[in-house]
Amino acid sequence: MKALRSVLSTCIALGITVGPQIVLAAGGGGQGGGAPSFNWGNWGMQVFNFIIFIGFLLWWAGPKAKEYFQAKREELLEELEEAKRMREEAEAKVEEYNAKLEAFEEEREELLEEYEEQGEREKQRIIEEAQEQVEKMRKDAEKTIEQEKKKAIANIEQEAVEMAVEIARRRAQDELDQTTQHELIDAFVSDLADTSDSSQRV
Amino acid sequence: MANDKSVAQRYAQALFELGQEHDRLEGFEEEIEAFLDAFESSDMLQHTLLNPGIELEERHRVVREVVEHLDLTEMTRNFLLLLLDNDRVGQLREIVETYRNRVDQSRDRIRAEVTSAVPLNQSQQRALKSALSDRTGKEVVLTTEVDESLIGGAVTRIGSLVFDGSVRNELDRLKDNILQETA
Repeated sequence: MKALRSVLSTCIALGITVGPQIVLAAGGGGQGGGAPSFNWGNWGMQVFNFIIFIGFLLWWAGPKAKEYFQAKREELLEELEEAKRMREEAEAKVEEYNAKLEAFEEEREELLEEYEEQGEREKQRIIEEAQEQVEKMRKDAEKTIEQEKKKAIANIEQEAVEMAVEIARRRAQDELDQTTQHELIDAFVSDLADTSDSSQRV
Repeated sequence: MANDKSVAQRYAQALFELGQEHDRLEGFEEEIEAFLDAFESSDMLQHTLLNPGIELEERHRVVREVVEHLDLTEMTRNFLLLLLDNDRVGQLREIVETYRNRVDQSRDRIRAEVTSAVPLNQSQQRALKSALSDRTGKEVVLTTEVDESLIGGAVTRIGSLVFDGSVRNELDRLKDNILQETA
């Protein structure tokens, strides 16, 4: 079948290429005698050849072209389908990313809110601690002042007493004459004799 | 320190027994006290008797000379030479004090030290001895001392007992009482 088609193809090709030459050669012989006239036979032959050519072309290349265009169509359809699928996937991704972005945004806002709350709490805590510290320092300072005051008063009292005793000591030293000195010793001896226990153990 | 005390007790007891035997307890006491005074008041004597670099014979000669100078008895001299031979002169004060306490104990007497702002007259000393004897039930040997810083009155010490009748003490007590009341 294939060989037959090949032979036919060759004949048709020859007919197409050689046929018109033959017709033209036959027509050229008649021009020498009279006025030129339209050569209907030649024209018919050319039309016939063209139709044969078209038919041949359709017969020979039609299925392949159809097959080619069919494949091309399917390929295009597949590509369109793929493109559609990819588009849908891209849209899905976009949606997914949008959702993620929204989630991130929400999370960001939550975090910011939480940070703000934490910051506020920390600020409050620091302020409270500072207030407590200030209060403690104030109380400590008051206590210290009170202690220092007592200490100063005690020191003044002690100094006053020591001064008074020192004055008394000097007056005693100045004013105790021999008679009084001996009277004091006599009184001591008398106390020693009278009192049962006036001793200090050292 | 405890060993020094033990050594002093041994030598004091030996001298005490010797004194009892010859009925010279007070005599020995006076003589070794005289030697102790001389020993403690002379750096040269201390240096000579305590220096092992000086020949023992030489130190014997020094002791003999001092004994002769102080007119001490032969027994006291021999006792001092014994201390020198046994290298115990350094403990002489402890020995004398221990001997004195031992003699006091045997005589049933105690020693009292009286410090006063002015010197005590005889009647005050007698009265004080009497008061202390009544209080302790023993014969009292009184030693007196003057300390003007007492301001007035007197302080008596018998061993660890102190009777303080000084003006200084009264003023100190007064000061303490006032400070306690104001505190």
